[in-house]
Amino acid sequence: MKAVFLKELKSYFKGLTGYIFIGLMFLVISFYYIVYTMYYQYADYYYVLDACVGLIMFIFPVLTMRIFSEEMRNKTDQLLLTSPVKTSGIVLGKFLACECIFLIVILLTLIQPLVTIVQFKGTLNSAFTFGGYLAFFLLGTSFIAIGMFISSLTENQLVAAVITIVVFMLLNLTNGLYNIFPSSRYFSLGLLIAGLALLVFLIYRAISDVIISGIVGVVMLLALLATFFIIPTAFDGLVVKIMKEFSVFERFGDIFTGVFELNHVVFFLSVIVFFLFLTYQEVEKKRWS
Amino acid sequence: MIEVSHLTKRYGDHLALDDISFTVEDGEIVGFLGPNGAGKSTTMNIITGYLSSTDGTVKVGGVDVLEDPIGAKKKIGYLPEIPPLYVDMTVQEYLGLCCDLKSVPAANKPDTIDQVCKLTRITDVKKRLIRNLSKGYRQRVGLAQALVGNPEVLILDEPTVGLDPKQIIEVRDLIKDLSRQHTILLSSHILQEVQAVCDKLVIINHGRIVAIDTPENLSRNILQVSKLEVRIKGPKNDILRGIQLIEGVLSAEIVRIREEGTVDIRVETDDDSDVRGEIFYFCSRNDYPIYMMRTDEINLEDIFLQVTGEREARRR
Repeated sequence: MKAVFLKELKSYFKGLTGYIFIGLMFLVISFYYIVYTMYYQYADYYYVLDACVGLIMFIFPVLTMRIFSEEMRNKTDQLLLTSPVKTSGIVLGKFLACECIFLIVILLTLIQPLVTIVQFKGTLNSAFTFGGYLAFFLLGTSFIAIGMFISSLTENQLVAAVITIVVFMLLNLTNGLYNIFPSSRYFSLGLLIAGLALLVFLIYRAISDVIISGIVGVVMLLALLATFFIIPTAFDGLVVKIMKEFSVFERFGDIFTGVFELNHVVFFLSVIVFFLFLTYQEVEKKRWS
Repeated sequence: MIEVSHLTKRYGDHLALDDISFTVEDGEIVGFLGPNGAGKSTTMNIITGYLSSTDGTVKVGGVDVLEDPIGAKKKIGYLPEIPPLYVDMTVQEYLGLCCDLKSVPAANKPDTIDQVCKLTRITDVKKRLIRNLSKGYRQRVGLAQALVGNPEVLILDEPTVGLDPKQIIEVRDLIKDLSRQHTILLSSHILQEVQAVCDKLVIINHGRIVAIDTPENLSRNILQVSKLEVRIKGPKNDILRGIQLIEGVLSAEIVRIREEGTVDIRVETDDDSDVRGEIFYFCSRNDYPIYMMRTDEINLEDIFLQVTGEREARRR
């Protein structure tokens, strides 16, 4: 794992990728810093971090698009996968290298609140600032995990970048989107069945066995219908509830505004672990297809 | 050292490998021969753990590739068809990375790198970016990568592709040298290339093994005298007519005229007859000196025809 990690970290600074990412991130954050803290004189640094999220989600793909796509295109994944290194080591090494670049950005921006306090004799709510950084860190790390997974799906870096941006935008949109969905129980049921169909299709793609994936689908459909007829109230407004649960940005906002709950942190950690796991599966799956 | 048994690989409906079995003994050089798309690379990718098989097992040094992939991979040095090079690294950095990946102790790293560079003769480009190297050098850096960590088994997928004739001879000699310490499996689609270095040939076509034998046996079986080319000095029409009249000759035609006063004729005979003696006596009687006589080069297609044809004949 260490070898992959060091190689990845170096590769970010061999080309321009590392510099571009750090530069753009720093530029955006500094811009908001100047606007909020210097110009409007807000006392809360987390406003800066909160405000820049809408823009930096377009910068993360710069970092993540190449992680696996480039290796697949150049066939260098063959070296990694035929070396005595575990697949999990490869995935983790690459992930941590990315994380390191992100940490460099965070360390660089730490100058800003420090300058506010020391140089301008200003005051900052330290709990809020810390909460802001924690949320920022968790959100960025989730972005990296998601972006890395998307990169493992395609050989084409550009495609990986575009898909990543679209996914981030959809995640961002769910934040305001769920209120316009009807809360009727039939709508929930319909959407769940559609989701189930998608799931069965994915299972079929993974195992290429019509019978097994069919059985899984039918069993789950029956379970779903049974639940619907026994406790129909559970389906009232279910879609809104689910979307709220999965709204990354909603939770991000919660941490910012001081609503610090452990389940938010656990949620972000689960997202990260889940996508690392998916990436691992995707890399392994290539051998079997 | 390498045991491949009943290997099958399916890509959807396409059967890439169909029940392949062969073994490579310790210290042997085995040539893996087949036309493009026969399944050579697929087999090698499965042995090295890059792909997995649909069915069948592969053991390297007694270790099952599926059960203990790390243990098996430690024993293998692999040069894939396209050398897996990070072009933004220098040769030295790249080989350093390979050392790390193959867990060569940090203390031995400089020595290892020096050693593999010397073996593959890339010491003079060690400090250069791989991006700027020529195809021949890249191929050799790929080979150096396979040698890092001194693995027991070397698997080389078309190691001489893209090299110039001088480099091909160099690589061939290098492979011969290496065979003293390593077991080698190398693939090629050119018969002459593997004939020279291999102890054993495995010939594969459409995902199936067609023949496993020593190069000598294989070429003895397919010694071909049914297609000849002769260069004879004398009046061309007389010579042509004379040859056509020899018993067993199916056709004779003038191919070209290379030397003043001589004629090159291609002679085809039916499979059973050898007309070389007859041609000699005919020329000798008429005082036409023979300048050259050779059989057509044996190529892979002929081997396939020969081996598969024989099988069908036996079945009948």
